[in-house]
Amino acid sequence: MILFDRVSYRYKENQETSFALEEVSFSLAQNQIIGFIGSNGCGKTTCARLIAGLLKPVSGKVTVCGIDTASEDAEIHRKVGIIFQNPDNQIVGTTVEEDIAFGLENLALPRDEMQRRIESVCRELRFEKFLKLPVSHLSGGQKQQLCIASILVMQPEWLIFDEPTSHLDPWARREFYQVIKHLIESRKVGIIMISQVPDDFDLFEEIHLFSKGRLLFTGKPEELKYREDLQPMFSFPEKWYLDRLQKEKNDQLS
Amino acid sequence: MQITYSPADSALYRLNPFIKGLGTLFIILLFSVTMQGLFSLFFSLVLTILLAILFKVELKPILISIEKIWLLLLLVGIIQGFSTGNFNPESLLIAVIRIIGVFVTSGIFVTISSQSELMYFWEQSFRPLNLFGFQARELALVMVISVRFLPVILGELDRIRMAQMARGARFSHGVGLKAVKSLMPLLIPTLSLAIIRAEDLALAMEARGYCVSRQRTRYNHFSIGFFDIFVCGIMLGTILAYVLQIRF
Amino acid sequence: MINCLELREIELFYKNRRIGDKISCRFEKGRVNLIVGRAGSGKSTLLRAIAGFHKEFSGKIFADDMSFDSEGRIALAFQNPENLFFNPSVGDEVCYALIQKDDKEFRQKGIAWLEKWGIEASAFWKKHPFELSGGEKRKVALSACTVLLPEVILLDEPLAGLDFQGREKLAGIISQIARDHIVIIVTHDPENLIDLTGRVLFIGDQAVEFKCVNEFIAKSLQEPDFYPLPDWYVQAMEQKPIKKHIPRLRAESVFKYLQGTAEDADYLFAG
Repeated sequence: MILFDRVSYRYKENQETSFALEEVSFSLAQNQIIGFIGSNGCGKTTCARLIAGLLKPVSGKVTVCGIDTASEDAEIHRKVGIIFQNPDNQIVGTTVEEDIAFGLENLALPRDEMQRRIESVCRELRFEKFLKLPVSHLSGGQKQQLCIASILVMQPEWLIFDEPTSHLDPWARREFYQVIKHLIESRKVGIIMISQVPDDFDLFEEIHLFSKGRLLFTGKPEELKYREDLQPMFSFPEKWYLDRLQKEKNDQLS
Repeated sequence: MQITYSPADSALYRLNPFIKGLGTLFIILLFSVTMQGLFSLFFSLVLTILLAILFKVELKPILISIEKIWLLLLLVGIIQGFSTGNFNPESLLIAVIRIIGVFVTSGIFVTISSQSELMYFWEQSFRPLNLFGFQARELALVMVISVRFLPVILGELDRIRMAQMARGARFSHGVGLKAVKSLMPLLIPTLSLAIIRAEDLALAMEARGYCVSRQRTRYNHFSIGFFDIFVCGIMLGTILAYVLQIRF
Repeated sequence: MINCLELREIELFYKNRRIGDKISCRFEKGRVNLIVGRAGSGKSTLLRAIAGFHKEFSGKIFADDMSFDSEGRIALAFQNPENLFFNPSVGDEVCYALIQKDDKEFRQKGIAWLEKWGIEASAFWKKHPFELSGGEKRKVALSACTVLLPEVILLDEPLAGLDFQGREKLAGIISQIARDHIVIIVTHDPENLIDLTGRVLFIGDQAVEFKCVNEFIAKSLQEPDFYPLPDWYVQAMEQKPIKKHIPRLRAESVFKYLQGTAEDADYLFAG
């Protein structure tokens, strides 16, 4: 469970009046894929970083699995894993195996436990054959899967993806969707996906729409589909538009 | 082609990382300080390369990269060649082989050491600093991450150079301040990208539970084997022989 | 000004290894030309080869049936061109290449070109490039990369990283520019560009194909493994057998197509 209670955030370099996030409140439940959408600079990334405990709210309170993220409790990083946009900037190791182990070393786990976790996650993601390879030999899509594996071994309860598909080609995008669907089915986890790619919206069971630091909409995609007032606020999927046209036609006929 | 870790299976790869590092330093010293003649230097270089081939080290990127330091080779070679007053081709060749020897040896070290091995090496080397309150492991991680990102940033520099040329930049004209100014299109973007990268990396490391003061465990364990002792023996033997040769 | 850039049997090499098949195609003025394919298929390398930065290739490049020398006739904007900013103002950034060329009329030329990219010069000229929004940065960067008004403009992922509105606007601007220049775009996300495209070069593992956009989409619909189109489009098109003309990748056009009321403007360019 994630709780946002009247949370505001402001980046230091900006003026006092411009909030990256202003008085936002919501709650998120696990075991579903949640989409954070909105155009550039709307506050969705800030929101994700607040959840991951990488930023502390200026006012209000963020609670993740019962932990207040403003406390200096490092437990938060065990509960929330975040996969950033550019895989190259988050891979620490020179080989796949070392990179996956980095987070586990930070958790101060014994060696046997590390090995057990690494083996099981790599089997699950069919990543075993890459284990000994240097990171530089991987393609963009494979690097992203490495980042996912590195986070999964830490057994987080929440997974956040920051625009995961915007740099993938359409083939890799499809593979990524498969991985996400598998994750949500195979474990008790909540997935938050920040996205501007309309194709991704098909995955979402719940959508949070942000604009200029405010939360404009929370609810099911089916609902958002028919909110014409909100359409200019985000990348409105052509699929939804077609659905709407067809529904209008059917309504006219009946 | 970048010189980076390229795994293989051989006794050299299985060496304890600390011995690997010591051995590298040892050979570098051998090339740079000792007063051998042209023939023995050349012989040492060939021996190093042959041993590397024997132990399955991927040498191609290293040898190709020698081309990148040709200017340095030429300059130092010419200076050394004239060092005795008259031009002496033997001193020129000695200087060139010394530099190539050091370059190839360090290249081999980078090729055969993974990140955790490098980290282990630096950690062991910095251990005496613990006495003065320095965190050897943190310092080692900083070293290792810079090594890991150096080829990435060099690659980026290359891409930015190409991209700026594609929009009409010319880099090598003018002297002094003007030359520095003509490099701005290269330096500013590379620097700002490196800063963004560093910020991203810091965030990602924090998100993965990295915390400077906290106790961490180690995934890879390194032990001392027979071959390690053997290599130490060779190093000691060589030092002994060298000292004896100077004294008598 | 040339009207057509032709690649004849181009074979790319990277570190002495051949990548992909022989490529032959004709890129024309008037509409945007796309290059699509998997990551690592050699799309970006092909752009660099055309621009003269990547020398490892065999085959010939012709402009209007004459041998083509890329020197000064081509501009290549790399991915994320705003990363190249290094000047203190938008004006300096845009005019940089002109000043390097000792062009006396750099100011007028820079302003005119910047406006073509949809940036109002009077409001932005003195601004610091880092003050701009993502979409504005991209437009300024692209105009700075192409300010010498070359006959051929090569763009690597010009829309990547922008939000939807930004993508739509920029796609429109690029198609305007394609009227007077040969524009070749490498992308793995062609949805916003497909409507504006003339021809598509597909670089696949098995084969290289050069087709009119209409035929390219038709083939993708018939062979799902060829190129993955958006699911909604594929599903909608299953309802009606494909004829010679194919609707654009827009809900409205597809809807009209399914209703049988589509007009010329709802169809993709068919050569």
